[in-house]
Amino acid sequence: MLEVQNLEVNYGPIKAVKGISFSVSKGEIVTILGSNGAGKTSTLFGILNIVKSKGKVLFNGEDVSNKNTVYMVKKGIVLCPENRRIFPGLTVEENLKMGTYLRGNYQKNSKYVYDLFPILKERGKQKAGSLSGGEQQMLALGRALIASPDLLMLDEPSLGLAPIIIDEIFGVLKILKEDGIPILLVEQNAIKSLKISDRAYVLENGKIAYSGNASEMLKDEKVKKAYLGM
Amino acid sequence: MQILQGIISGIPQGALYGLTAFGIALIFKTTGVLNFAHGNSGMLATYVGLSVYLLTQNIIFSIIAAVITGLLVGLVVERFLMRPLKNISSGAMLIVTLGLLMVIEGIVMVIWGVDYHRFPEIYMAAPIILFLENGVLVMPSNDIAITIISLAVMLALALFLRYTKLGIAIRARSEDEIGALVCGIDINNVDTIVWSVGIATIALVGVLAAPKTYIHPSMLINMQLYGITAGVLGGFSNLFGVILGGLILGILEKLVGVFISPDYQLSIILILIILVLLFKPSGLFAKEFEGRA
Repeated sequence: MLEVQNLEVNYGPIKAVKGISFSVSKGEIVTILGSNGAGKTSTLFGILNIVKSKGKVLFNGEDVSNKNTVYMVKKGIVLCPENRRIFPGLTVEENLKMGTYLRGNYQKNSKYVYDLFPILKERGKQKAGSLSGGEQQMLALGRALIASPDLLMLDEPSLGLAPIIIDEIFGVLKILKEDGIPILLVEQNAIKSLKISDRAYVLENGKIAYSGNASEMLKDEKVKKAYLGM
Repeated sequence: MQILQGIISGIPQGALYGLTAFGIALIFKTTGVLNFAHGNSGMLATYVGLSVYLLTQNIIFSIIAAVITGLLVGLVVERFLMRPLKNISSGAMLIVTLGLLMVIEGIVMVIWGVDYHRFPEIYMAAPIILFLENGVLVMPSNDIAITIISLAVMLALALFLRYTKLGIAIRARSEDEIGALVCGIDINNVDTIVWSVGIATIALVGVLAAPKTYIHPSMLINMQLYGITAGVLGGFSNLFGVILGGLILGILEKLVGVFISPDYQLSIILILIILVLLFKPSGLFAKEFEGRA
């Protein structure tokens, strides 16, 4: 459903993403692995045109290259960004309401989100900035899900969280997969993300260095050594 | 009694400072630009209001014209100046708004000249006089009208920001640009609205203050200075604090004028800024805990 061809992202003279191609099909979790500075976030920003990008992006067969971010969100590509990017001075409810700014029905979808993260309902009237790191990540994920995305893009959802919270987040990702929401996951935590993914790409210096089936990658000693640092 | 009279006379002026500060803070908080051309943008709109008044002799029309001009000035400034320059540093942006201040002043001088113009009061009636045991309190009726209008506009805007979807989106955008973008909030649209509303409020301040300041090219320079002071006093992070900061400033100014000397009004205000910045840099009414980023 998402097809990216020769995506390039440049910051002035610096080439962050150097012409990569990949795809996500219906019902799939696809992971992009890579170390800091490999171009993972730039790839996601490039797809949404938060930063200017070159190349072709097809979504559900429609050519959406160079459409602005608002259009992409309207079409159903929703990003849960790195560092959560919630609105700390707004209440939890207001944060979720902003998730439905363009799409999704707040009344209907909030039930789905509250079922996944009951703590958010409890904290509804509280300022989002007063939540713990894990709760903030849940809020960021909830804010993306409440828009009922056709494709959910997740940028490092495990960043800076305690292992027990990471397990909870990845548990939720499994539920989302069962519910049929395709996910493009960007992660540094290779083992955890490969375990729940169908396919994976390894990004190195803005290029795809390796791609393949996630469960095979987990077994392949050579791949693990060369790309995953295990 | 003198203190009470000072406080009462300070409130209308304070309400105008509050409204000025509200506009400056709204733009600053949302877009990160401290607009030094704020007062002059309002001054330009006030001149348009003056021209409409001279044509129609109708004060209501002229106020509406000034406010609409304010909306348009905000729209043009955002669309053609701020948006193309979005990625420059905030220091450079400050210089851009300073440049804009001079450009607007130049435009006004070319079109309307440098003469002082009179402008009528919005509500002309006998002042309200209260006879108390140990003296009298005087409240000019126009001052009451000014206070009511300013406070009503601020209240309406505060409610708009608090409860409407667009209002929440404006606050969201002011807190996290990337976060707002991934929610599908059109940042450019929000910025245009904020600039328009912000300049419209100072346009309203212009026409409300005009009977006292007269209309001339630097009529709102002091108002802007006091507006920024009110913002510092109340804490730019908190729009409600900004309004209170304006009121306090207006009252203090009158009290200084009555009990010390009108000559020291401005210097005392400036000393106040320095003191607040030294001892409570986030402002008197800013909350200490703003949450984790």
